[in-house]
Amino acid sequence: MESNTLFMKNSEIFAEAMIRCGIRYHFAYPITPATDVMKYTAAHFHKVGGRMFQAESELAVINCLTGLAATGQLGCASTSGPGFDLMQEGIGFMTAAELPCILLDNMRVGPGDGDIIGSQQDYFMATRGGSHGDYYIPVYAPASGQEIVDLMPVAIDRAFTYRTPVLFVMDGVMAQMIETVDFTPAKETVSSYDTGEWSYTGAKDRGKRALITGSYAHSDGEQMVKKLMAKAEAMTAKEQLWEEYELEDAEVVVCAFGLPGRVCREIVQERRKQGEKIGFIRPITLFPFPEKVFAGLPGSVREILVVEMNYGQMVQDVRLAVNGRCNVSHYGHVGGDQPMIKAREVRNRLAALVPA
Amino acid sequence: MKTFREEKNFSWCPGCGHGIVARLCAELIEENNLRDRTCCVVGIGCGGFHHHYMEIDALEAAHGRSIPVATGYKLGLPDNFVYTLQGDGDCASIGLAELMHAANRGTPITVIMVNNGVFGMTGGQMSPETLISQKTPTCPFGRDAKLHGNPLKVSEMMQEMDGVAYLARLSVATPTLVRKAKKGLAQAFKAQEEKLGFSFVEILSPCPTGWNMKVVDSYQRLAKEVAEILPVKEFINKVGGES
Amino acid sequence: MKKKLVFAGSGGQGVISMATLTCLAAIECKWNAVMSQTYGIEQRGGTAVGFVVISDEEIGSPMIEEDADICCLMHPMIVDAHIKDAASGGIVLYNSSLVKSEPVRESVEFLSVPATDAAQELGERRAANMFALGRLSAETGFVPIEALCSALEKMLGEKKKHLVEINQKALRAGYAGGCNEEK
Repeated sequence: MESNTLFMKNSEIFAEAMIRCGIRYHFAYPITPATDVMKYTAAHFHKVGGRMFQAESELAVINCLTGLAATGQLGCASTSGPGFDLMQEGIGFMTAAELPCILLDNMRVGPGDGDIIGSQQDYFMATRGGSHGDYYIPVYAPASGQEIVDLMPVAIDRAFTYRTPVLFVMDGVMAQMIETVDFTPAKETVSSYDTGEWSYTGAKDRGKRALITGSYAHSDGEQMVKKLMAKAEAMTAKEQLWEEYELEDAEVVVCAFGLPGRVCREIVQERRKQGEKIGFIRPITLFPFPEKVFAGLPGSVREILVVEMNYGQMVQDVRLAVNGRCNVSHYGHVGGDQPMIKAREVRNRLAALVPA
Repeated sequence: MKTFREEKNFSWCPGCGHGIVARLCAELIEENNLRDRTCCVVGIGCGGFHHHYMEIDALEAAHGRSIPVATGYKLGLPDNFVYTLQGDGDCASIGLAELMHAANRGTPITVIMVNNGVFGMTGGQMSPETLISQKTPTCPFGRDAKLHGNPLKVSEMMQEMDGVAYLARLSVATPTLVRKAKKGLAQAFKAQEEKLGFSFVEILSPCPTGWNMKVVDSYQRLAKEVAEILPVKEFINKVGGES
Repeated sequence: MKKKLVFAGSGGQGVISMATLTCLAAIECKWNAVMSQTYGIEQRGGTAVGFVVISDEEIGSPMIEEDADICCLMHPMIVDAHIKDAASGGIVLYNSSLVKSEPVRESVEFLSVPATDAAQELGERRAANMFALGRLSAETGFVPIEALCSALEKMLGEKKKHLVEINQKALRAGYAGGCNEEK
């Protein structure tokens, strides 16, 4: 892989970005539409001294990742909805244990077996946490292969800085989409982080270290949660990312993340050319939710249309962020045949909101 | 002994076998000079106290997940010494799938299953290892094979797996058996150190509290009734040493 | 320049290869390309559809929703489902060797290409997809024929190098008008 510009499936772009940034361990179990990641790492990780480990279940996947992370090395696990369900216990555990890792959920239709095609129905599970307890982890929602590459070094940095699992989510349509990508931003950074201060590498030249997420006194649990909440607060203050377009005089704003964000941006650009005062927001971090951009919206905004491949999840965060200052409506669609993101329907909704 | 915190008061009940197992592990770690590069992964249950009395790095895994945690750890640090310390609830019930796959894969870790036939920490409920007609709070009329199945012979299940380098059922029922258990455990440790594959020891141990028995009676039951169903035996030894 | 294309057919006809080759040819021209695909649920004998957007600018929406500039229908089983993918004023190529009567659709330009028969005459029935692509290049110039031919070598790689010759032959035959059938 000498060349920097390649034509690849987004799941493979994710895998190649991991390799180039210095991640050497990938744990996974076959599941559509995330299997392409492990197929790629199985074929390529050994060339750089890494290893793809196919575990017997997603339970084993996330716990193998836990053990690897305890050694101070950064690993990754990729999956899709039903497998992500099974990993929740382990993700909560890793968060409590302050173990960094990179996770990927290629979202499909659910609940249950649902359908193997794409959706954005795991927004709640990603941002609220599917495990028990109070915890938040950074969640990145790239909208293109290029953005996966751009975000990978950022995600790695946040995983080490906050000592936390970091999650990427993309819908299954995007996961299987093939596009041109430039890998120049994917620089090796993993080896530059020193984990010697906390890793469990054997009690040589120091006292023993024990990884404990349980309580021996009731104050232990209290302290752990306080620490996690302080991290979440710091992330909320510093880590919000979003893309915005033409908000200055907007009357209507379209908000969408991931692939629907890309579709909506094009529609908004189209309408702007017609002179309609429409703006656009695409959250890139789902946690922390980019509430700053909503706080800074001009008074001219009277309506926000949230578009998702689900029946109304992120829209709840938008409503919290605007806190009644303007109307918030939602258009959601899940599954069916292509195109799963119905641009025509978005255009119709906008036409109703902004009469020509 | 540097590895074992003898001065600490155990939080295990009087007569519990976990203390004996911890002592054996500590002695072997010292004798083989492993302390600097040992990591113990404990499960949830009374086995989870194991590392409190050990001066070694330790990870407390989620219930039943010690083995994949140890697997991931060993991938990251293949020259470190890794063992799991789990009860029969953790290892044979909720964590059975992970045990079987690690064994079959020949993952070079050592798994110690302290088998006392009940869920000790939560109050002596039925485990996969509870004997037929044994009463527990969740089988108050005694374990019934028709309702609950027979005690799960975990060691026997792994006999045909090529990945297993050492496999034995040991016991702490008598001083002689404790000495024998140490030898078996030494072979299991050696199997890992020599990168021969997966090593597993099941150590029969009493739970006087969970069994509602006096300590002396519980050791007698372990030596007789339990050993009749789950015999002390070495199943596989690719290390070749005496045990 | 931005073009949206749909390639639809039966599994095994190579429609995904048509889509992939289109993207690779676009990349030869230093354009950007995005491709998505759908398959039937079954492993064999189902439908296959490749959706492609190529552009000399950054590609925004990669989705195609009844706005394809070019729609290639290689098999009768997918005609009803995908003829609507073409934009009003778009071009619909259909494989007239298998699609026996001209599909019904207003405000599109039809291109009847007996791709399977022509490929059979060239000695490789499976090269029908390349024949159709060559013809499409001649009729629409969506990508230059030379870009298709050189991208083909990259797509097939070392492992399938032996297939380059027949497929290039089919591309060029399609480009040249194939069997000189009436348009």
